[in-house]
Amino acid sequence: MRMSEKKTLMDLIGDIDRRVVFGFLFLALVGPLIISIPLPLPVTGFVKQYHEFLESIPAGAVVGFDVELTGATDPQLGPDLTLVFIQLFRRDVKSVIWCMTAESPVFATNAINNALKTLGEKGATKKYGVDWVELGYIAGTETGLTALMTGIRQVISKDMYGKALDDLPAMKNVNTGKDFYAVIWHSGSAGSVPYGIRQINGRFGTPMLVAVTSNEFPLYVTYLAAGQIRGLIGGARGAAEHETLMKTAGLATAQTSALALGGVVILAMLLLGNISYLDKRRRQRK
Amino acid sequence: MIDPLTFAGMLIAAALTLMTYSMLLGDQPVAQTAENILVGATTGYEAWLAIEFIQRAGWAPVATGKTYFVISLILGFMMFFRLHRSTAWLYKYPTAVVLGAGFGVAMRAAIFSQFLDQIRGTILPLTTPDAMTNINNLLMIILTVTATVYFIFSHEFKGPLTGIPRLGRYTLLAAFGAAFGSTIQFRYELVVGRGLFLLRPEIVSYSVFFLILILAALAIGYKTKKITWY
Repeated sequence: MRMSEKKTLMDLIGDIDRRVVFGFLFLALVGPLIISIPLPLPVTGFVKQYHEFLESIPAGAVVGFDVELTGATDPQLGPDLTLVFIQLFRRDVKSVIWCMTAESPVFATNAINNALKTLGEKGATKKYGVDWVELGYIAGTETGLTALMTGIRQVISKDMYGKALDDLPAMKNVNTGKDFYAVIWHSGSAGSVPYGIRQINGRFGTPMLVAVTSNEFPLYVTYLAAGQIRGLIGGARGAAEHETLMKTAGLATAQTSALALGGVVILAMLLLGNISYLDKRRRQRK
Repeated sequence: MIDPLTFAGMLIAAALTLMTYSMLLGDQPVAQTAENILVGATTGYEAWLAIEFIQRAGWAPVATGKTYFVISLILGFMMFFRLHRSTAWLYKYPTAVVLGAGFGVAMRAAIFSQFLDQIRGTILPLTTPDAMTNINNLLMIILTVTATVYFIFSHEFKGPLTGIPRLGRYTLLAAFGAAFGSTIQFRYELVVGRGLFLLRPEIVSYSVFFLILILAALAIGYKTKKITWY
């Protein structure tokens, strides 16, 4: 082999096998889950507004709750969903839950059960039908939501357990979007926030809180700036900030150091890849 | 204490998670099996939920005397006509109703929510007591205007005005960068979420066992050339 064909260190870095990159990423993401690395977590204004609005809901008020978590988005936003239910139950706020995604009702039920378990004695006093109602899956995305917010009883007469809505005390005086004190939209990555805002805040002026995965977060900051939503949670990071405000270090907080280290690795890879590319280009020009 | 059924579900979830992530080593039967199980289970579950919804929101009202609900059931059934070429034209009618209703419902509110309210959201005060808010508001106004100006293609900006669309382009690039960064973060969160699940004390030993089993199966497959390494 001639000397000129010998691979330099920069060539090796540029040609690194993708499996090695995956290996580094795996170590960076899973390592901090095994060995805890505590990192400071400043709370952003978006989450502070979200938390403060939840804290301002008066006891006895009824909030609408859209849950669209799926298996993929539950690890990020599931902890926050439980936390919101804890906050609502603790403040004696009633909630009416529906799901615009077929997979989601089971995640809503799990979050409610977790919240009730966490609340202990207080949780044991909460009753289905009085403190919360689960309407289940509502098909039809935007048209389905429009119909539901125009008249819940025109779309369904029974909840997801087959109980008549008129027999549930929490549903008394609740039939349209304007009957809710506020609507919490826990969308995951379903991309449904714009139509939620259109059909609830846009039509009835009902205040809305939104929680989405981190990839969708930048898209909805403008809605917060325009006052169309009152608070915004973005992914596990936002959920962890909410946990900080609630003074509970839960599953979302456990993820933050892993996410930070993962970010460092991807930055290092980007830098190395670019340095290798520039070096190759420089040598080709010579 | 976890009940046996939930525990069994957790073990299946752990095994399928590791099988799915084995895709990172390349496309191979272990990952494909997990993928097929996911697609099958999701389709079955969602089909059952859809049937339950039709029963609750479509059939139940008809049974209680609201006969006009039968129109929606007929339109829904007509969707299945696309499965055969000779009757496929019939499915266009329910599709037209769905699209027309969806478009009408969305457009009515979109003008306010996505247009007027968003414009109103960029008309911000610059003389609040908080200096940082003033700076943020000023940036919001300048960057929104320049990003909009970037899309004016019918006029050529000359001289010092060329800076306006250029700033708009940088604004858009920054927004794309933020979106890209957030997408990476999202993917990380998926991995970390599954990692947290696999490391739960109740199943961590089983997770390690499944990992060893999958790696051994793949090693044998690659060694015997039954699976191609690429």
